[in-house]
Amino acid sequence: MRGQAHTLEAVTASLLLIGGLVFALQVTAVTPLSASTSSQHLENQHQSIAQGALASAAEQGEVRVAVLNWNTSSLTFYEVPNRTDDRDVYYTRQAPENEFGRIIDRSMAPRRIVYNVYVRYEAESGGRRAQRLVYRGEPSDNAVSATTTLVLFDDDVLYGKDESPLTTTLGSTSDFYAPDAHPSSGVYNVVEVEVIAWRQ
Amino acid sequence: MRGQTTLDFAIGTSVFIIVVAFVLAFVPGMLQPFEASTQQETAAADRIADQLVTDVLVEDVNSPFVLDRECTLAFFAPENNDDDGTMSTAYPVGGDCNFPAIDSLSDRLSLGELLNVRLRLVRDLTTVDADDPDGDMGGDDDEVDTLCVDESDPNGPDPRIVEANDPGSGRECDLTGSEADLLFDIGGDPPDSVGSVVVSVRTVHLEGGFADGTHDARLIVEVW
Repeated sequence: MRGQAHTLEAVTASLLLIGGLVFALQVTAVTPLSASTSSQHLENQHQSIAQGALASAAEQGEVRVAVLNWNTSSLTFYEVPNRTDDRDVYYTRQAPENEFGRIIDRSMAPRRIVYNVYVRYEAESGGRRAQRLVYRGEPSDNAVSATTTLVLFDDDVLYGKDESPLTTTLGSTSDFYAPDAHPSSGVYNVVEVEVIAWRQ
Repeated sequence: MRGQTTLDFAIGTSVFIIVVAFVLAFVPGMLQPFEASTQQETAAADRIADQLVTDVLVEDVNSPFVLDRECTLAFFAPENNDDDGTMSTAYPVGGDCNFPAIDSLSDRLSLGELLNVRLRLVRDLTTVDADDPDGDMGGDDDEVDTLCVDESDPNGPDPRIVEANDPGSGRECDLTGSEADLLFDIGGDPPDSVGSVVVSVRTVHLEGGFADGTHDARLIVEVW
């Protein structure tokens, strides 16, 4: 009986020690800025880079060109490569073939940031729908987004290959992906361009 | 019965000693989040980058990330950053710029004594003439490089912005002499050795553009 008491005492002491260790572990805090593979600092950078690239493109008017770079006969964005079936209307492998795509690509690609671009337009029955402009897959849990708003007018022209303006206006075609949400005024639709970026 | 007692004692003691050794080895790892980290540098780098692109260098505070050309050139001018009391005459700080005409970079950014900063504007330009103005790097490479204002543009009267490409006297980006070329690189050099350097990156739009017609560049803020 005396021998087993020694063992029991030792086991109890060990349990007490482990209990103290677990308690101390629960007390320590890991902050969002602690070093890890996807820290808050990195996400802040991605957010600001995406916002800056979108602001630069908007300042040059290139966001409007990219949104209106729609081929009304094939019902896709211009120069979408590698079309395997009729559902491929947006870019999946590379940036859009216009200055907006080049600006976004220059900011994101060297830092291995992957992005989706959505164009959210007003639907005829109210509410908003999203049209994909670039889709590179499901975003990870640490994705960030940047948006900019754009107003499309009835007399805005569509843009063709090489971003050259065509003669078709928005008001005269019904093959655009967004409908005329304000038929009684000169405004065609109010769209929101959203860039979602995450680390590869 | 005596032997059994010794055996139980041995087992008990060894279990106890193993656990004590494990706890002693574990405790230093537990204290690691509380040690000196780069939290101060990270916060400073983010603050400086945000301040620059949304307030200090912009033309209109309502449209952030769009930088005013004259104010940005005045901010990066070496005579405006060398702490000797005289400001630059080629790149003066205009009255509408959002920063004071002080000669010291750390005072302008409200940086404390302990932190050092380096600001650069970098980009990989797209035309051969802008990417490799001296013609000795083999054409348009895909390397990002610091930008430089070239006062003596061979293509026109106004100064143009090209990649720096190893600036020196006699080259397109000539920081010596009276030509007053401007390299977008201010602040000291970060240490190569031990110590961590925190980097903040922002994409900016510079009014007036660069020699290849584009306007977007990357502002890199390094704090250590």
